[in-house]
Formats: sequence, structure tokens, C-alpha cells
Amino acid sequence: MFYLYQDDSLRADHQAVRTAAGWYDFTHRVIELTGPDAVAFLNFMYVSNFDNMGVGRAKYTINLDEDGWIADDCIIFRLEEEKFWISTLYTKELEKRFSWYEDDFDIDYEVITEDWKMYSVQGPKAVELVNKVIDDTVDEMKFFAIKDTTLDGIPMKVARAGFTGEEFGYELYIEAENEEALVAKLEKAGEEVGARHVTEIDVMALTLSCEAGYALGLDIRRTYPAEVGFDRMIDWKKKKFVGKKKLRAIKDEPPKRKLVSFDVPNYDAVIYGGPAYKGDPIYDADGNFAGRVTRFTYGYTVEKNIGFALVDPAYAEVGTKLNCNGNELIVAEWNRLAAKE
Amino acid sequence: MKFTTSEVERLSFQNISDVGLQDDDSGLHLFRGMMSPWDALKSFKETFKFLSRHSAMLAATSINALQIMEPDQETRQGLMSTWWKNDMLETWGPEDVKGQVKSFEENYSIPPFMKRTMYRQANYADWGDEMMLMPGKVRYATTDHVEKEVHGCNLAIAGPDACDLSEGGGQWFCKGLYSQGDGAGYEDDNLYLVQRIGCGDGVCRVVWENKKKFGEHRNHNAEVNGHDWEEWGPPASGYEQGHAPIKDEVEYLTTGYFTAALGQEFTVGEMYQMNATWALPYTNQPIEAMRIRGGGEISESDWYIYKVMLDTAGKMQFGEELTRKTIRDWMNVPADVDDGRVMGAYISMLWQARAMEWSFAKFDEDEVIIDCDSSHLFMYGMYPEILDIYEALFNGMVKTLVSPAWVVEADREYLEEEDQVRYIIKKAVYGNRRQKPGYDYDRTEENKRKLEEHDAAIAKIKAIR
Repeated sequence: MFYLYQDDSLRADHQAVRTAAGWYDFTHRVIELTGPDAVAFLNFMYVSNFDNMGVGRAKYTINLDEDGWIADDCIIFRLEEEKFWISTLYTKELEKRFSWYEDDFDIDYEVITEDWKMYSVQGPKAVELVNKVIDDTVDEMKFFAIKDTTLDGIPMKVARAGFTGEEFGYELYIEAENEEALVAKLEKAGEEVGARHVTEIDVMALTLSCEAGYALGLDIRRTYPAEVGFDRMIDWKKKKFVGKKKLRAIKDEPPKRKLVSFDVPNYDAVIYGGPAYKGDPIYDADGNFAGRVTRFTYGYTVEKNIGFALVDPAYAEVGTKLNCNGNELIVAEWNRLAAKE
Repeated sequence: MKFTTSEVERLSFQNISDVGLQDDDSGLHLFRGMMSPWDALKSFKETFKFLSRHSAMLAATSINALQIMEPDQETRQGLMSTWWKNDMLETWGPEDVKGQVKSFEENYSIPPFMKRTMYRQANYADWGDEMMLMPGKVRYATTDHVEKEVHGCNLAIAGPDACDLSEGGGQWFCKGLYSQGDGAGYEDDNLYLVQRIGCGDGVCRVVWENKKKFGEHRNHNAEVNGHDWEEWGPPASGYEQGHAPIKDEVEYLTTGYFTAALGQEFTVGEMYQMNATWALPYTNQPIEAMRIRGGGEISESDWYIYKVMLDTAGKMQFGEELTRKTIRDWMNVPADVDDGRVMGAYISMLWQARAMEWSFAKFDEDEVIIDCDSSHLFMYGMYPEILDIYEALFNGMVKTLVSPAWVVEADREYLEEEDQVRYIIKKAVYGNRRQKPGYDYDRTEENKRKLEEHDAAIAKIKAIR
């Protein structure tokens, strides 16, 4: 059996981001949405309000299915007044959902995944590295902002965002045909600032984000927003959005589950995380069913097995001791990095 | 007629997925499963399991037949894997004329940044296992290393030959994908089993890893034998402490949807649709191996061995009196019915499970005629041999399910004229399969004359009665 804590490649990639900088291909699937009704359409499809979102800003939000369950999470960039990019992993489902409602709005959308490459630069030295790559600087950029820039004259976009919990993280978008130029520049500049080319998928998607308390789509799908703490994103003043009817009906009911973060002291624990119904079961000391694991990974900064679980709210208090596959599982603080400091 | 095509239209593979999608909770309750001519209704779950078990048994029979033809395991595996390898490379390799890779990446929501990782093939392999009702868990998945436990597998009945095929196929699938041009440096994969249920273990443990990072494992010569699979790992072992319980069945049979490793969801109807249309996994590889042995066509002697094996397997299926009684109860057969209708009903259950268009053209105590869609049965024309395969299997089955007085024959003229597969269940002289290859007992002029005399005498007696 192989264990994450023994994997030196993952450890090196993870620690590079925490201590210096890591850069990596992090190209997601992207839908470009345009049209006079783009804002109205987003307001209808997503729980957040886009009325006052400025050009050059980004927003993390969720969309629901008709039963009020979370269908997907994504980051939406406003590039122009009537032009948005929706960055997600699940364009197939999203296109299907869009198609159900598009006739009511004056919009167009297309998947542009193949047209653009996105490289993520994360870590304390990310500013230094990105400034060496682009023709201007990111010194003044605020979090969740996006702007046009150039790389040796080649047009590109840079956004201040990330999925690592690092204060400084940037996402560089460049047209696919110019990818080589960006990679060459990242390699050269990366060497100069002591950054590392990260290749481990677990580091990009799981270990860094879990330490920082960032949920993945798989952690939250088929849950109600209040169960995973995402009800804060909902703009209840909006007249309509997909799933609102169902959510309003249960708004005053206490959540039946809660997404929590946990530690597992046993290094050799074998635990499987999965979508709501699929992960390994968790029990309390008396053998009562408490919930299921949604994600299980290793935090190389905190040096622990860590993860997320959907549990009965009675077990959600930090410090609660539970059991999974014979291993002690302790409910922990959301953001371990902050807790560590 | 009790059961007609229109009655089963809702079960056709074209609409199974839609039915599943309409369901609000489980994806199951609108799907009827199977129904016998005597109104024995079978649930979706039972239907799915019935189909999966049947496919596994047919694979086991086919592989066992090949074991007679080719006793040397290395050679046998090489024969089966040669076609498998070429098929995988053709389907997923650089000459991707069907656009399979693009649609695979879209359908499974593989984001571009994951293309260079083992997540991609692990995702597909995991989905394939689940589709074939093999519950399991991916315990570990990183860029270069994947470990998965498979908790149940009907194909384990077929034995290690099937496991090897699975490993080899997975490996060539992966090599094909990486030959697309965006995976340079990741073409060297190891895929092997370190634990296997057939070795006395509780689970199969499949490991997929990059040779460059984790080193070379003992490997057979892929270029010579056309396959690329590994020896088994450590001997059978118990679970380590803190292991999760073994899963009895795949979750989506209960929940109604399957979530792939990267989050793509498939309804239970879509999973079933794939199983019913793909059908007969690991029966096609031995058939291809026989073709290769015969230089392009299956030789007469190989075909003879294969059909005898199928005949025997069919007889064994209901050989025990208790089994015969159980299957009659399962189909709600009335006590006074003990003729070709029982066999016809069983075939109809199988065709329903395979979600094919089918109908009874005749269903009475003297004769049963059952038709079905040839394109679907032959896997879109790829395996016309299935006509003979099922003929041999059913002809064996009817001997123990009903009595040795009955035979099942395929109507080849009907196939040619109507493009429909027709099996006729009737009383007839039995014994043509006990002769050596090439000797056709039924069709000698002398025998035909005797049969005609016999039939005429019976008709005369019936008329008097």
C-alpha cells in the first residue's frame, strides 16, 4: 500500500508553493458568455448577484439544480460589460443547464477551453515571478481581479486568484498557440526566483486547497448551500434564480448535514473520500452513523492526514472525536494554515 | 400473443437512458426490468445483475474453450491480446478517426490540466469497472500512481485470463491516449494486480504507475506477444487494520447515479445502456484469438471445440433438478407447462436484459419462435458468430431446462431475408453435435426422409385425436 505522506514528489511540489513559488498548467474548462442579457442570465443561473460586478473583477459562486442542491461551483470573470468567462470543470453539464433556459435571454455562449491555456503561479514569490514574465506588473492587483497584459508583446490576461490559500497567487491566461512562449518564460524566470514547476495533480487540486479549507465541487455537490456554509453567497433579494423555490421552503430548517474539516492522526490510515453518498462512513464512539468522508488527503505543511466530511451537525464541533475505518478522526478548524500561525 | 415488440419498446436501449433521466429520485422506478410471459416481473437491479452474470459466464465458456485449443497460457494470452491491443490503439490512438478521445474527455469532464496525469485513465477504468457491476474504491490517485481495490467481479469466474486481458487493455488504452501527442513522457505505464480475489484475497488491488518514477516491474514482451501485463504481486494477504468494509454492490444501483472520479455524473440508465449495448465483454477476445489462430477465419476444428463447450455449458446451466425448478419459479412457469415455451421465455428474459428489440413470432406448446434485432445482437455486425454461439448454448440449455426431446435452431434463411435473428425451439432429432467436425447428421438424405415420415406419422396421430 502506498501512502501520500511517503511521496517525496508531492511533498516537494507542495512545499515549493508554501515556501517560494510553484507554477503549473491549471487550464480548466471555460465558457464564454456574451450578450445584452448576460448579467440577467447569470443572476438567474447562479445564486450570487452580478448587477454591481465591475469589469475586471471575478466572483466565486455556485449554481443549483431545480431541487436546490449545489450543481457546480465556478469562478466568473467579467471581461467586458457584456462578456464573461465562466471557469469550471463541468462544461458539459453547464451547457445542458444553460440550454434549458437560454431561450428566455438574449445571450450567446461557447466553450473556449481549447483556445486558451491557463498557468497558475502560487506562493510567496509569485509576485516576483509574474512580474518577470509579463511586460507590466501585478503589484497593484487586488484579489479576484483580472486585467489584460502582454508577454513580450503577446496579448494575455492575468488574474489574481488561486486554489492554494496563498496570499499571492496569479492565473496567467494565454492563447493556446502562444503557450510555449509562456512556458519558456516561466521556466527561465522560475529558475531565477527559485520557483518550481509543479506537476503533481494532487498538490494542485487537493493537498494545498484542503489545508486552506477550500472545498472542491465534489465536496459540495448534491448538498444544500447551508450544509456547506455557502448560503452566504445567496442573494435572497433576487426575484428568481434556479433552485430558489426549494431553498426558500427549507430556509428556516436547520441543516441536516454539515461539511467539516478533520484530521486523522494515524499516518497509515486508509480512507476513501467521495461525493456525498460514496465516501467511507464515519461513526461516533457508540457506533452511531455520523456521516461520510468527501475528501481525504495529506497536508504537507501541517504534516497530517486531513480531509473534509459531511456529518450530522451534532458532530460538527471542532475537537469532536469520531471513527472511520478504525482510525480516529478529529473535527478540525477550517483553515489549518491560519490555525497553524 | 402475450408479449410483443411494442410491449418492450420502453426497454429498448435507445430510451433506457431517457427513462433514467426522467426519474427524480433513484433513476430506477420507471424502468421495468424484465417480465416473463407469465407476468413474473424482475426489478432493474435484478435485470442488471442477471445480464452481468450471463456475460461473465459466456466469457468463461469462451476462454475455457480457447484453453483447450491453446493450452499454453503465454501463447493464449498473446493471441487474445493482439487484437485487443490493436483495437485499443485504433480506438484511442493517433489515428482517432471516430473522435473518441475528444468525446471521452468531454463526457468525463477531464480538464486540460489533468490530461497529463493518470487520473485520466484511472477515471475511465473505474467507470468501466462500475459499469460492469464491479464495486470498488480508488484508494490512491496521483499524477503518476493509482491504486484501486475491486471488491467484486463476475468476470473473476473466467479466471486470470480475463484479468490479464483487463490489465493489457487498460495499458494499451493508456498508450493510445498518450500517443495523441500531448502526453509525451507518460507513455511508460505499469498496470498490474498485486492482489487478486482468485488468489484468495478479499479484493483485487490494481496498481497503475509510471515506470520512470517507480521503476520497471517484471513485464512480458509486449512487442512479441502483443500484450503488456504483469505477474501477480505479493501472495494473498489479509487487510491492514483500519480498512473499510468490502462493498457488496455498486452504489448507483441504489442511488440512481454514478459519479466518476472527476465528478462527471452518469445516470443508472446510462450505465445500463453501455452494459447492454457493449455486452459480452471478454467473449469477443477469445473469438478474435480463434480468428488469428485460423489465419483470419476460425478453423473448423476450433469452431467445433467452441460449440461443444457452449453446448456443455448450456446443459450444465440447468443440470441440477433444483436449478431447473428454481428458474421455473423465477419465471412463474405454470406447473402444466413443460415444453419449448420455458426455453423461449428464458431467451426472452435475456433479450430484455440486453435491451434489444424482440418479439415472439410463435409461442405455443409445439413450437416457439423468437426474433430479435440482429444488429444489436451481433454488436453492430462485428460478431455474426454470435448467431451460432447462442444456438449452441441454447440448444444445450433446452436439454436440461425442458428435455432432451427439444432443440433450439437458428433460422439462417430468415436472417438473410429479414435481417432478423430467429431462434426456433421445437422437438427434433438430437445428436448432430456428437459427430466429428464436418459430419452433418440431420441433413443426410436418408435422415431427412426418416424425419419426414416421422412428422407425417405424428401429424396423422394428432389428426385422429
